[in-house]
Amino acid sequence: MEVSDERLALLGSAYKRLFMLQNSFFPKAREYLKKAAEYYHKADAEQKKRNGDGCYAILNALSLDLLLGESSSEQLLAEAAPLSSTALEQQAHAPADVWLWVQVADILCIRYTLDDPEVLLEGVTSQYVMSTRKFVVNASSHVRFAIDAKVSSCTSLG
Amino acid sequence: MQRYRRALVLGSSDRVKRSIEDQLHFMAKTLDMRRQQLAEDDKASSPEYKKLAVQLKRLKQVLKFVTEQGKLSRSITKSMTQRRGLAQRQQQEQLEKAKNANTDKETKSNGNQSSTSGAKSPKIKEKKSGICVLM
Repeated sequence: MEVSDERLALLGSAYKRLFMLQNSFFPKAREYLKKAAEYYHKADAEQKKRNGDGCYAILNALSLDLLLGESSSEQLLAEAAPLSSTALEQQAHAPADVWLWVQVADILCIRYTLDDPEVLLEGVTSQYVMSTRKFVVNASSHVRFAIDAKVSSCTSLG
Repeated sequence: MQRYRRALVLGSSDRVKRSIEDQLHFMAKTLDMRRQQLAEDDKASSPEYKKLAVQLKRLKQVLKFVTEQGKLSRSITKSMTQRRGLAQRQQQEQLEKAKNANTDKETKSNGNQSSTSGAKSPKIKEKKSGICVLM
């Protein structure tokens, strides 16, 4: 069977599910998480070999590395920071794809969690709002206005 | 068109929100399990534990925000669904009333003009315009 980045990413995802099923951080569960991160790294390498520019595999690999705690924050930040610009370029190239907006937010979230001084909480949350309300921009002005009004009233109550 | 727009506003974004929430929940839960593991191993004063606590705190800040946004969005969806149901019921009631009124008229007119054969009964015009639901 041909090796492809998609198949490797699927294996990564399967090991991640296996880890989730363990519901613990004991050695066996940790091993599954490690395997998941490995496969996502392999998927990323395969993608790069084919000149692909997607962030999906490396983003998953980074988030799992963060959870594993085997790499230093500095190492992870060195990998995550340049990813932001790649993800932003992709988002600008295909703004209709909502998952590319989520990708940008996810990278910011990883950087914020890793205590990146360049990333503030407001930056992460506003990017998540952008990604989840992106379609609101395409909606009619009436719907947009009504949603914005409701959101502001609930926020002020909270 | 309006329905299509509404589907995009609520359908897509709710799915996206769920996915974001699930991923953040998974990350926070895993970090928490790791922290508990360290505490059980008597490493609660280690630098790793402290670093982990900071990471967990920061991740939970994002998760809290995203979860609140998700709840808000779902409450908007719920209220829109309720309003749509109400508008549909009201339209149905109006149609029923119109039908009943026309049936009464028809009965009366048939009673008065029973000798007139081949007379056309009045047609009930049903308005089939799309339901515009306002929030």
